[in-house]
Amino acid sequence: MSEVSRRVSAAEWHEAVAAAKTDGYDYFDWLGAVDQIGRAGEFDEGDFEVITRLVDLAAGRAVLLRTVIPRNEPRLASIVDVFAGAGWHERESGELYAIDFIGGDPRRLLLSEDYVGAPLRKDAVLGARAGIDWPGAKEPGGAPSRRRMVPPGVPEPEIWGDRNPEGEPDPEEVAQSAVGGRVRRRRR
Amino acid sequence: MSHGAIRLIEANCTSCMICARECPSWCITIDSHTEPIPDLPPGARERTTNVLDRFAIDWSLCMFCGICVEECPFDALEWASDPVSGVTTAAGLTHEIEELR
Repeated sequence: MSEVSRRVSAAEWHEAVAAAKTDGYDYFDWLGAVDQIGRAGEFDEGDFEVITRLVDLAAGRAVLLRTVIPRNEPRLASIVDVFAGAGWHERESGELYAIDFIGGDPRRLLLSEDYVGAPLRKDAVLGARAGIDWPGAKEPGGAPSRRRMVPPGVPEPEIWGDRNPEGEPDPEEVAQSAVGGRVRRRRR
Repeated sequence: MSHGAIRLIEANCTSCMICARECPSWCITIDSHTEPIPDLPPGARERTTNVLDRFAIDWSLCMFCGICVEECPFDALEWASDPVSGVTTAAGLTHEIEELR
């Protein structure tokens, strides 16, 4: 199946989806979001990318519509009035990234009502991991480690956690701090 | 071979920590110390080897992904078909070397 990718602006999102539907792409496949934090250059307009895939079953072709929305104001027009089936996908992306789909269903789909935070945002930290000892920090032979190692997915305590004196850390710093190889040396 | 549990082949383990570091669920604990290698030829420089003291898998955390089996460069871990037997406490799911053989 041939597939094309189209970038549209957030303001034209609803219009572009509706236009694609009249163009023959009348089967809604999926809708999802990606946190593109830290990928400056490619995503300098904003930090979340919302993607939907629509299929033209009769002609055997598909289109990926992509748009970028800013992190500090994550809002996008809902497309449920064009494809009702997009509702569940919007609710899922909406709660996992805290994106507000205007005109969509604001109820939660997977997370419990009392869950705080947006777990698929790259600056969401697994607090329990930062609080316990990592078994891989030990060196073979039991020698005291000269390297201070932090496991992947856990930000350095200088950036996130009790030892950060400046309060709320910058999301970009947290996301950057938690990436890297399987075992990272802590930056000083 | 069904994936019931993971077996440790103690003789192959060099306590290199690779499995413990690769484990995404942090379920492998390793303690080791170094000992000088005995019976070196006369005049040889003294060398040490790692000796495994403790190797434990916490089956309450393990998600049976098999990354440790894949990553072990010395083939010291392998799949075993007998599943981990049930116990009444979570602490009882931490298996030491004796139970992992």
